[in-house]
Amino acid sequence: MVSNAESADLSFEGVYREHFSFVWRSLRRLGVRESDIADTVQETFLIVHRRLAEFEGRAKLTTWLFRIALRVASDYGKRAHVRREVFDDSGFAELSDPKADVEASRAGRDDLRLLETALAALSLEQRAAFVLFELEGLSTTEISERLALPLGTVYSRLRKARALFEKAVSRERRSEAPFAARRIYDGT
Amino acid sequence: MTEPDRLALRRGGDELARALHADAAFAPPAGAEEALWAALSSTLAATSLTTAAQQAGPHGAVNAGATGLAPQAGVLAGGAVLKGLAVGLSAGLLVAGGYVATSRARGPQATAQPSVVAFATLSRPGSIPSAPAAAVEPVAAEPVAPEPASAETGAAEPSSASLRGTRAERSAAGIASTANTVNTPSSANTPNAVALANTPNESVSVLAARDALRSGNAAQALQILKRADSDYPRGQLSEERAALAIDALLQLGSRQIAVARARSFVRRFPESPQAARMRELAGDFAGP
Repeated sequence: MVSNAESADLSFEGVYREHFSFVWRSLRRLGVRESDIADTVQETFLIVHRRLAEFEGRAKLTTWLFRIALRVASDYGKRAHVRREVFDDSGFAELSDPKADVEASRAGRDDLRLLETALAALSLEQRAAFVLFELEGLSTTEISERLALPLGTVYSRLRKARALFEKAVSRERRSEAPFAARRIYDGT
Repeated sequence: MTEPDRLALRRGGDELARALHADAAFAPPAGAEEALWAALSSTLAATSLTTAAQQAGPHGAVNAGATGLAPQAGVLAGGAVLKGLAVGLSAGLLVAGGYVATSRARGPQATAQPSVVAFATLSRPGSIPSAPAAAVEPVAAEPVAPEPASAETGAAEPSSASLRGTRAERSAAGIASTANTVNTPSSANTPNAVALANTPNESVSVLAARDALRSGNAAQALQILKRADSDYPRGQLSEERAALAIDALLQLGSRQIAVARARSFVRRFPESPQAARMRELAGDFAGP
């Protein structure tokens, strides 16, 4: 659900402080990998910095930010290295803190990978609608505002996205084999 | 058109719910906000100062070279600083793993330095020519980029060291908040929480989770709670843990999942003192 308390502080730092976490999360949900998240969050806020003066308050700030994040995520998805490798497990393998709870983090890692794999089965458009509905908890009307889409389009994207997501989850669960260190997707 | 149902709330949709619950791991780790703010500030300052620096006398040559690089390098440096930080602060957490490898692969030493240079110039927006020497010197004297090795062993040192040379200047620039980037309350509490969570005691684990949640590290709180749930499936404090997990999910912005959990909380613990609050949260949502 969208916060009713839109921040009145429209200074760049104010916007950053208020919405850093939102931008980070949105980018991750839209397919930016953990290893690239810092760069893409920066990229997003650099655009925000450049264009903040143009923000007129007609839309909600979160709507405006989400659209910028969506564009950054879209550019990101087109980069060659991103299309080629969806998962790189090496980061997790190097986790070497002796205090780490290996079992718990392995389970969490598998769940996270399941989520990322299933989300990767969706196109960016489907993914945006899906994420706003299933994770952010927005209503379909709110989604149509945020994505500037007719309600009917939101419904059809959601329907397709949910079907693809469910299919991907059950496919992953059936295979259940340990994940290979790297999975190659064709980007479709 | 009627509103579709939500997958996370669907009966019998355990696998889907489980996948969706992993959304909590998409939250930024503790310290990320400050680290990225520092990198962002340096990038922005460097970008706006490029022209001024090019006209800046003897030391200006050094400066112009540094700032000319900085818009691109600053972005990389931000990643490196953040990654080092994430390793130090949340080692043991799921989110940390990715950063270990990437900071090694990219070599923070090479990429972090331009960020420091850019910081040196940050204190004088638009007036770099007045004191370019002072701005450059600390960097030359102290080339202190975070080493991957120390990032893993000590928590806060690498990043604070990399910023040491310019702290006074940044205070002058009115962005003193970045000076203590790493020594935030959450980073101070995190090792405590980890140590506590490793003590095999159900109530201690709840305290650790609460501690982590209070210090803004909701992702860590969730990890602790998850582990305690599997260690004490029929424990005395399941109710407390369930409530804490819901608060952690809310803090992480996973509202949809929090609502789903609130509904199950009300079913499992209808007599709980927290039930009213959870009922409100569950009802707050216009689901099926």
